[in-house]
Amino acid sequence: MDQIQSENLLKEESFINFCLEKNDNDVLYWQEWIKEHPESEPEIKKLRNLITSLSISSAQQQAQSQYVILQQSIKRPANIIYKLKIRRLSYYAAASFLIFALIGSYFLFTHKGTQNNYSANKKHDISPGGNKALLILANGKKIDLSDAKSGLIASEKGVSISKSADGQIVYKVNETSATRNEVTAVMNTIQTPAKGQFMVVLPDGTKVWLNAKTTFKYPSVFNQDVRQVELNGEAYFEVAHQNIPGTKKRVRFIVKTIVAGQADKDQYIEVLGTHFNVNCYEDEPSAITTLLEGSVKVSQPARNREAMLLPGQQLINGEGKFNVAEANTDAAIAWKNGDFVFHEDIRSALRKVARWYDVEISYQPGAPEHLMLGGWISRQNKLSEVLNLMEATGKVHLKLEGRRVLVTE
Amino acid sequence: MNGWADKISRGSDLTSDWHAFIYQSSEPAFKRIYTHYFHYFSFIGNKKGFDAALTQDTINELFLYVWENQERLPHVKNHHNYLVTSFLRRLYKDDSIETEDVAGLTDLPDSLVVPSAETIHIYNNINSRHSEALLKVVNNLPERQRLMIYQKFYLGLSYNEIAESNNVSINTVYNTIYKAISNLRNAINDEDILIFSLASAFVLFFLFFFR
Repeated sequence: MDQIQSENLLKEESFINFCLEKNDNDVLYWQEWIKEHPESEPEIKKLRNLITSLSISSAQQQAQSQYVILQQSIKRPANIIYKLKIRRLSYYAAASFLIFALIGSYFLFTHKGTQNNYSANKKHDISPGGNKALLILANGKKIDLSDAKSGLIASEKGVSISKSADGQIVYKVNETSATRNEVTAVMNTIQTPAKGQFMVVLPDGTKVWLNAKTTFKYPSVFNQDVRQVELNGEAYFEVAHQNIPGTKKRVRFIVKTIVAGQADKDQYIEVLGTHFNVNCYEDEPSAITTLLEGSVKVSQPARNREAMLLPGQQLINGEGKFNVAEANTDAAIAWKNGDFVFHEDIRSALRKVARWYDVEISYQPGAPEHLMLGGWISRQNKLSEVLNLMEATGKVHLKLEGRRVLVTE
Repeated sequence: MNGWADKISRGSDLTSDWHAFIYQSSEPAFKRIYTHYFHYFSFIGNKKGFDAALTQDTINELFLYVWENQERLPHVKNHHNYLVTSFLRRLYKDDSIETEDVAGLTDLPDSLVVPSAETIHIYNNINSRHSEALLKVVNNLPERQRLMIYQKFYLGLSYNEIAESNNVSINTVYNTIYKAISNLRNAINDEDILIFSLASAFVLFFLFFFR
């Protein structure tokens, strides 16, 4: 029996029903047929094995990829969504109040020219960032995750790396006893550029969202007693619970981060399974860890400091401080939900803007040193809209020139 | 890739998972429920002539609702009837569908989409090299073709039904199916398949005589 005949067999509905045992009559018919054509039995067996294998793998693939899409829309557990919605409302209220107040003050105090300036920014506008990242394997191979097609993108030492239809990277240890022992951990790196963000699911099920200009290092397979990763930039973690095999002891998850201006004095964030955000860019004055759920321990062994956080608290490490404070958690993870929530000094806000629109901020003489901002805007807006919101305070002018934002009084 | 659970599960077997989901918000339990009904609802939707993509979207809408409203669902006594009724209401965009009508609309029991014991047996005995090759073949197919493979080989739909639910010609469906099989054949060494089918024939022989 050759290829042409198997092609014809595949066209027979009853043959496929026989392979999958979907219909008793078809099963009987083909069993009889094989008896009459014993010479074709091996070929039929082969075909049947292929069909059954494809049956289950395609079912797993379909259910899994649709489930990932569902998770994407769930994003956060229901109780938090509820809380967020209520708080969101207060943002809308605050934002609209701000806008009204500003329109009012505009007519009262404005100097002519502000509007011209804004429309000038609009002419050479800059679009917002998107899902972009580079995966660097232990062997130095670089894979552009933004361009990679969905499906298997790499496979190394018993671990397969695939990209789901909605752009997430999923790690999977091949669960056969033969390969499991052979699996050796190698360090992988994911880098997001300016204007980039990305989400990855680690082999233990932990989800990590990376903000722009972030470098994240992790082993392709975690140790059984401790899971350690490294971060430089900003990321939001949803760490999965994992027990040490055969015990009820939880496996620790440790994030090693830099602290700006304190070279070689790494900070360690240790958790068992919780949700938290870490902001540790080199150009930020402090490394900030914000806890949303569970508990975390932050330590800096080189300085002999340690703190435990409760949900809703954050640790600010830098500029000589190592303080626990109440956090504005919505502001801390706004980036992950696709928003800017400004609740800070304009210089801090503009650092966020610079990373997301890949622009340089240039402070001209007379630019305000400190200006507290309060406001909310989606990260999907073009740059001019964001600058416009800031300008609406009436105390600062922002002019876009090429890839530079000039800040003047 | 995980092995397929040997235990043949039907929607009504998932009661303990439903409780774990409702009372402990267990995500693994939620995922098991999702996976079971994903296949069953895909089957119903396609059999009833609905567009394949629309069916999948409807399933996800339903489960997003279930996840977000888990506190409101402890009153649900029979999760199977609840899920099937809600799914059909969404699919037909008809809120008047009642649990009593469901039997008439689903002359299709969920046991029809559970793979046969023999299918599971064959799958669980493929060695890891083959399952990797399989994963590669399935993953390398364009989204649309994967869907057709799934509809043909897992849901067991007819070529005609698949062509309709994807808005393509029957010939396109034939070609897709044939291409997938020949890709897989190239990916897996022929001898391996033979050895492996002999092994499974051997096991069957024993099952037959020592039952």
